[in-house]
Amino acid sequence: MQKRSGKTQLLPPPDFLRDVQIWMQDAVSVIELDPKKALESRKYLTGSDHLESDERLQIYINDYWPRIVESLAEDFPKLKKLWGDDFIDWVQAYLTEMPADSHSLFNLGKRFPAFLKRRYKEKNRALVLEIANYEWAHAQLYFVKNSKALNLEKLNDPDYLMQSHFRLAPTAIPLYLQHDLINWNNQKQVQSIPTYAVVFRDAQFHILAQSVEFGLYTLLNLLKKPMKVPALIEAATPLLVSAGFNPEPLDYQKWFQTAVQNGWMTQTYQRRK
Amino acid sequence: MKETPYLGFGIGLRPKHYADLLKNPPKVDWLEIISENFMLDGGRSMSYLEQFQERYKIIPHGVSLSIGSSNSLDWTYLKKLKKLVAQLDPPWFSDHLCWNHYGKKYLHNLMPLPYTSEIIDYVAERIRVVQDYIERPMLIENVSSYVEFTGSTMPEWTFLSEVSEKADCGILLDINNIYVSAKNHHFDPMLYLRSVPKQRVRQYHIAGHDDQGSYILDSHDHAIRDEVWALYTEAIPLFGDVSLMIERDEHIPSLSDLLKELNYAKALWKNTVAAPA
Repeated sequence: MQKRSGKTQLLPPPDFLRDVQIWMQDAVSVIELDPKKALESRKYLTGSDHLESDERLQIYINDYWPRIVESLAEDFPKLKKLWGDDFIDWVQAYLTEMPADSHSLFNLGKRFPAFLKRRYKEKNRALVLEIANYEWAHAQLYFVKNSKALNLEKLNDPDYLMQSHFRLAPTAIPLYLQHDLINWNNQKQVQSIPTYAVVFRDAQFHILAQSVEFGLYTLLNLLKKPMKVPALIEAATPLLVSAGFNPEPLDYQKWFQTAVQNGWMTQTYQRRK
Repeated sequence: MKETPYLGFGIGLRPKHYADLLKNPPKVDWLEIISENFMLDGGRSMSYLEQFQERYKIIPHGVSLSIGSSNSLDWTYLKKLKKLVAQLDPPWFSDHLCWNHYGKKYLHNLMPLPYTSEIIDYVAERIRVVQDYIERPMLIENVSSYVEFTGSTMPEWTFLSEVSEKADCGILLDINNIYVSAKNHHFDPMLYLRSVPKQRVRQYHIAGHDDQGSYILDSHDHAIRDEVWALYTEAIPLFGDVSLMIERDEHIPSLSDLLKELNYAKALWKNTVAAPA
């Protein structure tokens, strides 16, 4: 039987099947039924006394958007509340330009922040882009790989600390926010308070956000690339100094402990030869 | 096709019921999951799945395999599905006899197929490949539809039956979908039931629908209607012991209300089986 090697060829799709799918996919994923497609529907679909072929096609169009809008509304609740009815318009514009490209609805919103960055030009652009990034950080943490927690006590072992490669856990996303989105509940106007934050998944799988010191934020950002502690400190110190900080060894120790306690850091494990 | 066990009466595992199912595990014979919601590397869903696995037999039911697509098979998808199946060790897995994407664009809807001999050969071969790769029997489910294609040369029940025979796979017979399509396309649902190969029907779905006047919408957001219960009652003597699952995807009721429907299904089955022929 056929395997991925492709030694045995599978039957090619029948022409009529391919034609129907190309036509129907275009006809269904639209906001309003294109009159040309309505006319063409007679070529592919049969009508009846109750419903003409274009009316039957319309049922699929009606069914397409609510499912997709609902899915994105779950991933972007603050944007939905901020925009109200405009949320549907933006989702439709997004998916018209960048249709779903994954079998999973979990991935539907992954390109939404980038789309808005390109298309959204309104007065509150900065806030909207920030909310989109913040909410997508929450959404993607729902399904990322679990990471192995580090043992806090082991940090007291200088050899372990100096020799291990550490990295940012896949369950933690450091973000710089210009607005206080963490405490914003949509009931009042969002405050313009610059915040360094980490959006993360805890051990009980809750998705949370927490503000952090600039120093810890800097360390976590650097740990997107695995590195040993000496290299990390060497890379972080000039960044912190240029921002007006003069970090002490105790600060690094505290930031490390906070990161490990919250599960924001993990270790890169070497493969045994 | 390999023998498959009779699992009894199950429900769809939905997040709304997680806490209740774990706190006071009810007498449910098995659970069905939407495969794609658990084809993940980690997170809360996977953690819950492990807990449910300790208590219940779990069957993965997919919505995105797109077995009828003109695209080549998606091996990335199949690899993830195989991993899930290996974890759950179910007696079968299932998906729909439909398509939902072409090229790189996904409709996230169960789109019907034209019914022709060529398409039977095309789809049946793909099912065989998938079954071989997953190393588990596959059941294909009839979808509800609102369109019929000008190029179709046979009724849906003939298409479903021939695909299952040529692919040597099982059938997940959705009783509600038969009712919905029968109303939308004016055919006799009993003719459908009598025409599908008895030995291949290994599971039922029953669900609610929404009457929109000029057509019936397969909405999965209502309690099961009397006409669907009636059709299920007709199916029982035709197919014998077939595992049943109650499907609800929108306006999901409390677990206790869902279990009432499940108990009703059990009672209908008992009464029908016990009734003299």
